[in-house]
Amino acid sequence: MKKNFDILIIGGGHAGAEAAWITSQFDLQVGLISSPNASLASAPCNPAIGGVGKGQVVREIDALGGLMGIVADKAGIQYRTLNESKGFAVQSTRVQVDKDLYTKNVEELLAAVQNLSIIREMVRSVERVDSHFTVTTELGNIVTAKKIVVTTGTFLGGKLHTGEEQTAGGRVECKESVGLNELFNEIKTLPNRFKTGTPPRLDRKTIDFSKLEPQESDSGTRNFHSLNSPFKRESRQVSCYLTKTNYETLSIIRANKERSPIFNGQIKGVGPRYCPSIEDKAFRYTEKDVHHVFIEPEGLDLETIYPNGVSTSLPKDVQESFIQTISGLENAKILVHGYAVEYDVVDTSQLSKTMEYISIPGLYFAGQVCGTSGYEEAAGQGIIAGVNAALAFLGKNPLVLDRYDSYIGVMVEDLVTNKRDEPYRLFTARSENRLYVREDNTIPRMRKYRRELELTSALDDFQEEFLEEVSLLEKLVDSTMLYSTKENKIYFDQYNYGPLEINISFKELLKRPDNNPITVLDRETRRLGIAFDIDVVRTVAVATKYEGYIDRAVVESERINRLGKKKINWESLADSKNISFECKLRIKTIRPETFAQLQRIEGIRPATLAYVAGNII
Amino acid sequence: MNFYTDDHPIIACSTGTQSNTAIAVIRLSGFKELLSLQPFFSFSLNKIKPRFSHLTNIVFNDQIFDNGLMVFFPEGESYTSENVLELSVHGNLLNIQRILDIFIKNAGFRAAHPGEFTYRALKNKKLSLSQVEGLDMLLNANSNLMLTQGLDILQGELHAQYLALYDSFLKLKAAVEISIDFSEDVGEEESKKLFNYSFSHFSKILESLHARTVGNVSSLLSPEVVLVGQTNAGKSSLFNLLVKQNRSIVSNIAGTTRDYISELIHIDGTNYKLVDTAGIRESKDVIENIGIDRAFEILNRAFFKILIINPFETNSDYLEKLSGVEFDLLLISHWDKLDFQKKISLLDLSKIRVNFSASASFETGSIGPISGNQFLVGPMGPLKTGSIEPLHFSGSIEPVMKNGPIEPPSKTAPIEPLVKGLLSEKFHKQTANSPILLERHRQCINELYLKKTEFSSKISGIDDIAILSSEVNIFSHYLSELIGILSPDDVLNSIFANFCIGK
Repeated sequence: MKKNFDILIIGGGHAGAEAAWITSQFDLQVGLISSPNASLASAPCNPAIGGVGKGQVVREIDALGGLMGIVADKAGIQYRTLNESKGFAVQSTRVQVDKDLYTKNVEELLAAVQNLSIIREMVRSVERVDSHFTVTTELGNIVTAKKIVVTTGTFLGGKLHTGEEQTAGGRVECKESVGLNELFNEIKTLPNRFKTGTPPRLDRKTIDFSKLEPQESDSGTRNFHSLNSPFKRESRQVSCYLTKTNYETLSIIRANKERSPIFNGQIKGVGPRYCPSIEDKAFRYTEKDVHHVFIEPEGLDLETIYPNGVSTSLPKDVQESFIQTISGLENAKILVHGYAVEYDVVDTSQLSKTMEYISIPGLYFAGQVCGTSGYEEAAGQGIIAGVNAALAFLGKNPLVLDRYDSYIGVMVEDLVTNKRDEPYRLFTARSENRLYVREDNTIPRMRKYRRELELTSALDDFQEEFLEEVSLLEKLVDSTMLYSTKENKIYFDQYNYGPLEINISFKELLKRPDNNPITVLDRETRRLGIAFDIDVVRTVAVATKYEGYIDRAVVESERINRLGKKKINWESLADSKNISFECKLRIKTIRPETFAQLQRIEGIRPATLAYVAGNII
Repeated sequence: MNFYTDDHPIIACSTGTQSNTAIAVIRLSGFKELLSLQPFFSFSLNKIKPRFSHLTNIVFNDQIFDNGLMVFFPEGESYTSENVLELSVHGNLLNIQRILDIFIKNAGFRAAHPGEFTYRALKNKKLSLSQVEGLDMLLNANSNLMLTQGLDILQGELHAQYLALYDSFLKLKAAVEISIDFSEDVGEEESKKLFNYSFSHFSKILESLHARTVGNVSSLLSPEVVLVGQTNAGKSSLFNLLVKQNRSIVSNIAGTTRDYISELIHIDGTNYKLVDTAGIRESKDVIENIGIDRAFEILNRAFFKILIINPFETNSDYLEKLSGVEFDLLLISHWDKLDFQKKISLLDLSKIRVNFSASASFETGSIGPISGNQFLVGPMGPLKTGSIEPLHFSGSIEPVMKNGPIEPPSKTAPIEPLVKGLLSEKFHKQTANSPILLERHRQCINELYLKKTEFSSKISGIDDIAILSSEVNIFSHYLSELIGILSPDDVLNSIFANFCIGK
């Protein structure tokens, strides 16, 4: 076994796999140490990659040279464009994946990397010795590394709950790791543990699909990986199905409040508000009995079905009876019961925007251990932590993503400028610049960041060429006029382009609200005999459509954020006599650079804000 | 903000320092430890019960300075949100000064600046900016209307309305976000319903607030009653009559320009400034025009306008100048000295068109017991009264008076109650919808209302919800200004400029 690494990643989930993949693109010796009884980048919860806001993250990861988009395409069995009817800016891709295919592909891709070693052992302790770290495994093996990326997910101090049953573990049938504090006694964890849950898995054969509403894979949704052809799928496509809970379902759950670990006090951890268990829904929305349940296959050949929307930690007998009240699931058999897991979370306010633990240089954190939920959030942090560990090792400038041009930037800033009190999930509302941070312009948004890595690969050539094409098409759009001639008017009528009483610019045509700019631009460039790649067409068409709105939104948000953007001097604040002791402590840990960051710190007193606002205006 | 940003303990007398009184209240705020003040009190401070009165001597160095009551309000539960001690002492001005000095010289207190207690309440989020404005209005009110609204903004219905508006905005914003980020969970139809519902709720609150900003309120804040007319028309007689019977207890308003005669009169809970433009000399030379310009300025902002015409000495050029002004009341003096037909001709009304509303009726009235100067008061119907319009009218008078020729009134009545009645009636009518009086609030609400109207007209055309959402965001700017979450300096400065020490 190899013993000395430049970079060692502890944990082989989505964050760890992403960190290992990106760091090994540099000329470095990389190790990935992961639990022997959990497969790499497995999907212990819902079998899907992407989602509103999350789809953007997957494409951002892909543009940075990440793994998730590549594998999601290999394992994707149903594609959807969410919010399709609501405008381009909020459209996101979600792909149902075959769980087995997903993890198999990750294992294969990582195993093929020459400078990456994978170690399947549990870690007992991590110690810092001079300028490197020493890691001791449960079997007593010792490995060293200059930089360490910790991506241990829910395994640190993990505890599982199903009704009254409680077991130690990071997920079902997986041993837990020691507590984070035992692993590194210098690391600050949040005082509250977090909790997350998963629904029971159903036996495919026992579901009556004839009663369910099918949702087919959408052939017009672009694949995640930018180098893949846009719409050619690598796996067979299947449908998901939709059903609903009813009064009876919720009545059973409500009658068993006392046996719910979330409500009887057995679970003390805080769960995500944005991904509530069915118990949460039952007790929080007492007047609502109908909730969507998405019936999702976990794989092409797998017998398990994931009923999305009924995550639960109720006792097994209650799970069985409420599931069978749902239309189509009357005879459904549960193969694995739902459970909740409680785990330790690192205090992310101790991290910098590179995901490095500030007081212990060389130590990075990423993924669910940072208090996020979701594979995409984990992977997004994994790539940032990995890249920065590598750049730091090579003595290069760190890579920090701006929240104004990426969702990863939004997430990282939200994490490190706050102490979280519930699991963090990305959604589009978290971005101030939603009209700009879209899926269709991922490459123009992310190219500058990928460039900073100074890597050369097929991806880099592709991106440079893509940008050239984009600027060519932009010039074409900018310089083309449509003249009000008889022939053109007839042509306009033929395609319902609207009136052409006077000459109009091509841009104006694309901006007309009733036109789909992508279809129009594609058709018109073809008519001119200069066909562009559909991805290039999409990028330019949507950018043109939003042009004016983005400018206005920027002006508006600047007006709103004028105060927020003001720089503040946290050091002098921390010395100020006018600020309470507690606020000073928080300011010292978070080190806010702008007023907006100060505002986002939980527990900052209004008086402090008023004082600071009064002094910087 | 160049306001006192330190958190030094402060002290001031909060009950005024103009004259000796029985009781004065001294307020101390911002001291860290109550027990550190023990050397100044005979009462044992560790026995103090928050928000209860205790009898104590105020002492220092074995000398007793006064005997009074003290109440302690602990941090977080006081006006300023700091530790506050209120002392009720004997209100002799020397006594007050002596007690203030003891604390300033020996206990590390600093004399408070004007409004500093309130500023601290604002700083510590005990009051919002709009509440401070309400307090300002309450403390400086010169009418029941302002008293009521001041209290209303401070803690009452208007404050609740603002918060409700903000709350409904947050719900609207949430509804948009839900349909973007959680429409799968909530369902397409439901999220649409949620949006429509929350927008109509937001609109409803905003509309009801907006209805309260319509109309000119600046004339309601310190309403002026202006008497206009040529020399010898009888302005002074009326002025003296109204002042004699209604003089306000507030005799003088600071800052009044005294180039015309004015007095405060108090009618039915409201102080009116009665202005006799006789102070502006009318003569035949150039100055006349200047005088009239000045009168116009006063006229334009006046709440209630009375035109007095002396039919024996009316100069039609003068009346011509007044054309277009909406008068509330027309008084024709020396009525008793004329017979009806003569009245018309003497008035020389052939050059003046007087538009009275259809139901206008006339009464005569006299000033005082002696009916030496009798007026024709008109019209007595609805308050909307005649504007005097020009000009170059050449027909006979009959068709102009919509009700036909003026019939001589049969009975006479004292004029003063008539004027008072009309005045009160107009005031109550204009304040019936409890108008929002603060200009800053009115502006914010009007801006919001404009944006909302713009937004509703656009909604149906926007199928791109991200664009819709950025439209919704525009509201937040005006809302946070209205509630005063964060406000620019100049607003704070102008508000605090009105406060006095101890408040």
